[in-house]
Amino acid sequence: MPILEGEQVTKYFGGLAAVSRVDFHVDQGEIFGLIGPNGAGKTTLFNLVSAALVLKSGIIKFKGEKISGLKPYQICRRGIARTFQSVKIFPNMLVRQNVKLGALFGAPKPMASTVDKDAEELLDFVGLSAMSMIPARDLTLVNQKRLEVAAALATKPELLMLDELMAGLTPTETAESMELVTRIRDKGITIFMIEHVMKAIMGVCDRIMVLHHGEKIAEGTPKEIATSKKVIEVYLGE
Amino acid sequence: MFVAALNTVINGLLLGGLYAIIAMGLNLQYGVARVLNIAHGEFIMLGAFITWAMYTMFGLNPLISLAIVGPLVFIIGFLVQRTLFTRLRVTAPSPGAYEGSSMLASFGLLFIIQNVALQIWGGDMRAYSYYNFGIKFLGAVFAANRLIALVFAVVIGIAFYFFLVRARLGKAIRASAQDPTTAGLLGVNINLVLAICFGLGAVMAGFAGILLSMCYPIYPVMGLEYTIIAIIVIVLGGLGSIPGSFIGGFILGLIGSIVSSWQPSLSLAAYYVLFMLLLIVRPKGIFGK
Amino acid sequence: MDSISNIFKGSRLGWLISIILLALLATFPIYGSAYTIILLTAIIMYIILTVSWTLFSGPTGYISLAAAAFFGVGIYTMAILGGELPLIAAVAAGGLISFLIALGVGAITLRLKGIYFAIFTFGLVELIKHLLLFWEINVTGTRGRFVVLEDNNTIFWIMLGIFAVLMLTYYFIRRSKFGLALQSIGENEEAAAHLGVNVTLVKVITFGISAFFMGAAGAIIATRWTYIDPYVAFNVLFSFLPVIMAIFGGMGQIYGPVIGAAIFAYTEEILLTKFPYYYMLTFGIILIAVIIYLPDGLVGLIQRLRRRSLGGQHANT
Repeated sequence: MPILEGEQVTKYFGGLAAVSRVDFHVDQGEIFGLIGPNGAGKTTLFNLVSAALVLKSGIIKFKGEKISGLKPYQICRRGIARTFQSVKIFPNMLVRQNVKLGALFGAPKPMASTVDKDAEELLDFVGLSAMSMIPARDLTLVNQKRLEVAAALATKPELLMLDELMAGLTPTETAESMELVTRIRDKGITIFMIEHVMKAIMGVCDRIMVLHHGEKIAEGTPKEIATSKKVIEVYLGE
Repeated sequence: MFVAALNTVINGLLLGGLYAIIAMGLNLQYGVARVLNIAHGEFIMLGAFITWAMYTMFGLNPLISLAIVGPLVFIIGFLVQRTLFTRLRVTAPSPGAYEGSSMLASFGLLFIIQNVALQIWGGDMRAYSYYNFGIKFLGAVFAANRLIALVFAVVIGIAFYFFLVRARLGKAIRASAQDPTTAGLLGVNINLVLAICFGLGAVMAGFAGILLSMCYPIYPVMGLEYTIIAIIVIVLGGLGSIPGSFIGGFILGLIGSIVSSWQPSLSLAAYYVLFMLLLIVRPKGIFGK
Repeated sequence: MDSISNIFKGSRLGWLISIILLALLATFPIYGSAYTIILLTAIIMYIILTVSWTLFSGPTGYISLAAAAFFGVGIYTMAILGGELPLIAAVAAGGLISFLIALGVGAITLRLKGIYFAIFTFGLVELIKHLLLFWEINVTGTRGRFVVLEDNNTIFWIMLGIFAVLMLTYYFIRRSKFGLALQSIGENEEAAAHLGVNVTLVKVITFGISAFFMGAAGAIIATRWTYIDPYVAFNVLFSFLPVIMAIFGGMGQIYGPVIGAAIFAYTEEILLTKFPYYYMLTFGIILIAVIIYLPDGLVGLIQRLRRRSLGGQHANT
């Protein structure tokens, strides 16, 4: 059952097609990967789903309903949360407040009484309990990424979009993040993730889509993608 | 009826020509030097008043003033950018912070220049009579000074545009606007280019002031309204688009002239209605990217 | 914006001191001279304008140049309605009309980048001035209006009251869910939007609230100025002064704009009497100097000194 669907999704920047007529779907409960060389249009596609950018043409549907045209906060409240490649957190707010914000505004029917508890639980879930009362700017990169995930989870999403969660992490941190992703899926949240770290993607995803120059060139299971001639050409040819 | 309409059109073109060069100057400052110069109108005022002073004291032909006041205003603009705004740019934590602080600094500049002008020339309205005879054209009579000002405004505007497109300095300016870092790597002296840009922007304002003083009465607090109009023009034409400012200026000038012929004091309100519509429907303007 | 821990430290003590000071101030008219009361009224007025300005422009980072417009709207509301309504109602009306205009302006411009907002608000003063001039010349045929002069003490108490309500509002906003959203917008607007914050709505409402107090202050001061015409009411100087006072005081803490405005307003009084022809020039120079040399204002300076004396540490976890 697809939870997210895109039909002929297209976006231009000036004369250049950043995303060109992409059809895709993410099934409920799966971990769906999105890979492709730099500039392939992956983050642009994310931005189109989360409404950070406006579609030129095409339709995006979430749980069967059209969401293209809504504002970011509306999409969040419907159940889609995301993280950013450049780690967007609130540096001068305490770690706990970062998460609280998501719980207060993005979650359906937030209840003031449970918000603090929910925030603490999520911090525990991502392993940041000890740093709850520290300003977010004082965290290391990997912890800031975890904070971003916790805040996104606080909005009680059904679909979580992760943009290069593993970028800039050590191998140990990458392994921990992979494990976090699986734990999130085990909570019943569908995951749509962009990654460059091949080991992570191949190890964790149920299906993968490959973009190149804004177009979808392949889609399938990790094994199918790893053995696809087209994909190998695209990556080796770079 | 036809005469009235022709009058309105000519007035609109004159106003438009002035708006065009004022806006092109401001757009150059904002598009390249990234300074939203709220004090832009004050340079118009300076151009106007220095010309008036030259004319009443020495009988200096205003058109000759173009050659004298121009460089003077350029130097002032150049120095302001080279000292004040460069200092702000270098110490700013981010481009966004620089846009904010430079705009506020120009606000301070506005008060400084206005106060100086008020001190030197007093608060009264001034005017002088130059080429105030009539010229017959298509059965109607127009003031020669207005026609001359219109011609000069258009010529200056077009020359300015070609300078930016053709001349080596113009190309350096456009390169700096697009990508300051690369331009610097390619040997462009960024600080110099930005200062020249700012100076050129100020000169356009100065020229407009000179031409204005030939046709309309002037007063030391006149700058503010023109700054606001210039801002509306550059939004209409598209922030950063010089041709857009040129065309936008004429559009606004014609609108202003038409509204003025019906209700003289509502032209600014009309501009603002246009401004609001623009922001609602198409904030990036005609040629904006 | 500084971290919450700093605000907690200052808050209990700080608010206690403020309440005491406020109570003391309220008693001034009993023993103070007329000159002192008038001076204090003006200073409090500037504090209101500055704090209101900071209430919006501080957290969101959107530079508003509309203070003079809302202030003027408040003044004119008193000029028009002052005879029809009881004093406090007229003051509230001044605030309310400013609030509504701000909502309109905000709805149009706060969806866009900050530069559009800044320039739109900049022109508002002139626009409203022109509209009122047109209306007075063509519709009512009058030029200027007279407002009934009120007693100095009354004006002082109402101005003080507006200030008290403003500070209470500030306090409650900061500790509320709304205040958290406001802060988040200032720190990372896109992240806030993606976590479910309706950023445009928060910005517009905050802008409206700040305009309300500016309008109220204008309405009450009109009863001192008595002769009101569009030129008197709408002066771009009043868009400029709150900005310079806020930057001078420093926008990181609540008391920054208060101190900045207090010092500045007092200085303005002196400058106006000693150098009536040069005060604009002086302010312009001061603004530029402050932007270059004291970008965090007095508050920033104090904090830097404090950090240096404490040896300062921020551990990286």
